Amino acid sequence: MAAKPRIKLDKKEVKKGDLVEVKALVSHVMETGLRKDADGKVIPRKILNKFICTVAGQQVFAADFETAISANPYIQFKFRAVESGPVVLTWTDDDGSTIVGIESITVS
Amino acid sequence: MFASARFVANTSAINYMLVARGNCEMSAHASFTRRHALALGAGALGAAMFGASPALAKNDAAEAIKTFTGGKTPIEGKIKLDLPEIAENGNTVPMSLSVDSPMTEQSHVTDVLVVSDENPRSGIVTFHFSPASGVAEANTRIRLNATGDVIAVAKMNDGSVYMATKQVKVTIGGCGG
Repeated sequence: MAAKPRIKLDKKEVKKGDLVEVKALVSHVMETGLRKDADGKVIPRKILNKFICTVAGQQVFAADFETAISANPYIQFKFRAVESGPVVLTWTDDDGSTIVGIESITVS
Repeated sequence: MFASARFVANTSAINYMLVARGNCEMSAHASFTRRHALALGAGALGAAMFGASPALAKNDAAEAIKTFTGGKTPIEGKIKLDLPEIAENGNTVPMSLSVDSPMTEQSHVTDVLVVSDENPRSGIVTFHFSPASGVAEANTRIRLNATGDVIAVAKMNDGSVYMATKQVKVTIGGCGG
């Protein structure tokens, strides 16, 4: 169900202090809890409400998503490369489950 | 003859789109009329209804900003908020935001709140930055229910608060919230 997120770093081998751009797309319904189905019943809310990106264990960016984020949320941001390590992107669902995507960078 | 056939195909496509998208809460009672208006091809009427929607009271955007800033009045500036002037599809509106800041330990942006004053729920997203971000920039895609303002409020580490507003005209609402 939880499809693999698509993550793209604009460069993977960088000099210390360079900015790295991250683009990530994950497939998710982002159901608002405001819509009704054909029988007029409210479709319960189900969204990814939290996004965190850590690089080599340090948090570089985070976002709290509300229901006004489009389905299949796309996020693009930058971080300053300091040390080599895994780039871990974590999305947290309303039901507590997480979607995790991992890339890595090498800093010279 | 040909033209009218195409017209029918078009309107039924719009109709299908609306049905597929389900009912917005705010239009639970109005959706039928709206769908009809569109089906009739009365685009202008449809737009007028979107614009008017008096049933949809302003949400708690102002309150959300107040809570976020801790009662401080934000100063205009420092934030660049990019959104299309006209969003044809309110379901995915590309939004790009950047805040002018050196992003050093001494001076950086900590949080940026983005709200809409026309969505059923005001909150859109909150970004959290740190000096490790290097630059306070983020792009995402948002839902907008109706023509209205999108407001971004940025909090700096020294406690100062900045804001930017951008009006977006929405043609087809994104059942946002």
